[in-house]
Amino acid sequence: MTPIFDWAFALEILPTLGEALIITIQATMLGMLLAVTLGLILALMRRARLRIISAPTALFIEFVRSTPLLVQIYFLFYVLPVTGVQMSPLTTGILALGVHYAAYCAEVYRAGIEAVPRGQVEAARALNMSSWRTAVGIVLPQAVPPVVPALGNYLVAMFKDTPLLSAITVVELLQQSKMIGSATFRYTEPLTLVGLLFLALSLIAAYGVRRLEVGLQRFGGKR
Amino acid sequence: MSASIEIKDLHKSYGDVDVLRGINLSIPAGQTVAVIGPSGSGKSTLLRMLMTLDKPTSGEILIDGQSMWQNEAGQFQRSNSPHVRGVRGKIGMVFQHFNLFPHKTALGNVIEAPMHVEGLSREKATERGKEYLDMVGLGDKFDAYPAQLSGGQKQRVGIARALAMRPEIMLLDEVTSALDPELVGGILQIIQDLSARRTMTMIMVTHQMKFAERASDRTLFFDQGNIVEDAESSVLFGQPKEARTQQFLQSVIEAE
Repeated sequence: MTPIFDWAFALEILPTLGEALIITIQATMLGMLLAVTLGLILALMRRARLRIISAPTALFIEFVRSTPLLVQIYFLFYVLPVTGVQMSPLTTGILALGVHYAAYCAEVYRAGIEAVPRGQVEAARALNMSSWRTAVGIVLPQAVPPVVPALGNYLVAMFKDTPLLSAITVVELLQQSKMIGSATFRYTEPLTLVGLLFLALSLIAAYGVRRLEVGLQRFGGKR
Repeated sequence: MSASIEIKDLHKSYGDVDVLRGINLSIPAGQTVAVIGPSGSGKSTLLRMLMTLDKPTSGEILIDGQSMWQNEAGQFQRSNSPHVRGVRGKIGMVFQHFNLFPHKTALGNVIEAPMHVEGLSREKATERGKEYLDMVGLGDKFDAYPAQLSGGQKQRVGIARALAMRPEIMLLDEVTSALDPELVGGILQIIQDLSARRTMTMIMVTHQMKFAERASDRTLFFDQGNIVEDAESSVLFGQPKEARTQQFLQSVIEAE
């Protein structure tokens, strides 16, 4: 009679799960990097004076936010190769996560930018600063630090969405645990470990975001 | 060096509200002009027009004879066009609510434009920034952030920041209105000293009547979007001609 939770077995599969965890972390980090940069670009494009830029951007953001991530992942995985773009499943997954969360990040940035008082832009204008310098030197340094917590929440959310990548054959944490399960007919240990690993890393990420927030506040000076 | 200002039939309306109703005004280089009048009379709007923070509905503004919004060919230019930036570069402004950059130190606020607009090196800009902060009495606050400064100190940074670009025209928009009474005197003294140097053309919107009389060559009384009276300051405050001006000065003096 085997115990409900076999500690020896859990310890045995831990290195294998650890390798898969690295894929998960990789997908999250690169996906988030894409999301925060593309999100900022989308936010600025949406605020552009030219309707020909702002209107399609707004439509794109709405579209991405209103369709399921899993559908977008499948779409990129099956449709992109048809157009001649060849990417590994992991790259496709990172792209899907990045673009999906970029749409959310764009809205967060937009809220941050709109919260910067008008007087700041007027002061920059009175000093004859260029639009570029006003955006980069004056508006964004005040718009971004307050929205870091919101961006951090999306980091954690994205991390927890990475198991969706298993749908396109990426061997991340969940997929690896299922493979262990089907090979050994033991699911309790791998799935429990997956849960614990996600919990641990989510907590670490949340802590990291809080530290970053404090750091940015110091960088931004006291208000 | 200072520049002249010529304003021709300037109108500004926001929706249905006419804020300026045909301003004609000529200010020679180096003159200090005080602008007084009840709130909502268009005083601040005039300064905003001169700073290109807003576009006129109609009319023209000439700085040293050069049109603010039209190039030599008479075509209207955008506010970030080389033409408008060229004209705007001669003008500086100090704001009622300071509008300091909160993420930059006092020195950071002052050197921002010299570095990124004029293209000075950090060393050169810092040298100049310290000079102007010293001048406004903040020689010991270079590294303080705006939140660590009092209202009076903030406005001193605001003045130093505008001066650091060496403007030919300086616009002062109710620069003491947001200050505690005991801090007003110091700021007014700085402005009076600047005016006495005659290195800039100055236009100051103010509610400080005694100061306006003392520090300016000429005073404009605004009411309902028009210049009601335009005279030498000693004359306008001593023997105002218009009944509306008399009434306004009377009510302000009673309130003081």
